[in-house]
Amino acid sequence: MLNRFFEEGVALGLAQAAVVTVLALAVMFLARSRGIHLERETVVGLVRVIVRIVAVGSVLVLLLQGPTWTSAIVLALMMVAAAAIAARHAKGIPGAFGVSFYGISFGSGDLIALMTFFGVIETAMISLVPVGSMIIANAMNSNALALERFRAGVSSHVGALEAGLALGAAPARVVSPYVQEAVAASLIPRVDNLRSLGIVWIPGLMAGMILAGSDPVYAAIVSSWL
Amino acid sequence: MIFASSGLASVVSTLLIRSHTFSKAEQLVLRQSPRES
Repeated sequence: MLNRFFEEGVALGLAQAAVVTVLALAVMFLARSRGIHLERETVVGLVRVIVRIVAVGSVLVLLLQGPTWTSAIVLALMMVAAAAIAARHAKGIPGAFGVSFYGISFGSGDLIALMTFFGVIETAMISLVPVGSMIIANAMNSNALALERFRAGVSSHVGALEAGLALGAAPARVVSPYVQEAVAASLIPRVDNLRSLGIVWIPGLMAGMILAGSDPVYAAIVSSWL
Repeated sequence: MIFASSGLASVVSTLLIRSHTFSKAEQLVLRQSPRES
């Protein structure tokens, strides 16, 4: 319907964003009528998303025209930002930012470098930055989940941990069940994604490639290795 | 690829955070905050 009133391009995109914003505001008013006050979070969140995504789009237009080596700087900055965001979920854990940065940069950086070396990810910035950002974002989510679960596990079992230490057990041994639990819990969303891929959800990358005119089978193959 | 990077990130961060959980005297540093109790 919007196609009738707006030509394709920025105007159509803004009109689509306006429709979605109205829907989000409707949810906010519905919640308010039930005594749940989400006004500030919703309005700030919506404004932040619109401003940020337009800014990112504008910066990407400039960056994607730059030399290939700048993609390494962009990805490194993304890793720092991801570590800062993940560390927020680990309040009370000393050195959470450093740990998150090492975890995310090791998990995603090694893989991006290796896959680029083997040619799985193309070295062109237009390919490397978007694919790398997806990998970094997922590493960030898993890292945040692992730290949160680990913090919750340790802080709710202080007595058992101190009893173990008092009996002479090594700290690494005492805390190992919570480490295993945290890693397993952090991977639940990824495992569910693998299980439901193609049945419950279609990856955004695949949908984007199909919309851009790629062969659906090729799009499916690319999405599966990612 | 996403699964591998997520797994590596989780494993590395939890292994590193383990050393921040205890002091040099092997005492527990990480405790429940008053808000959680």
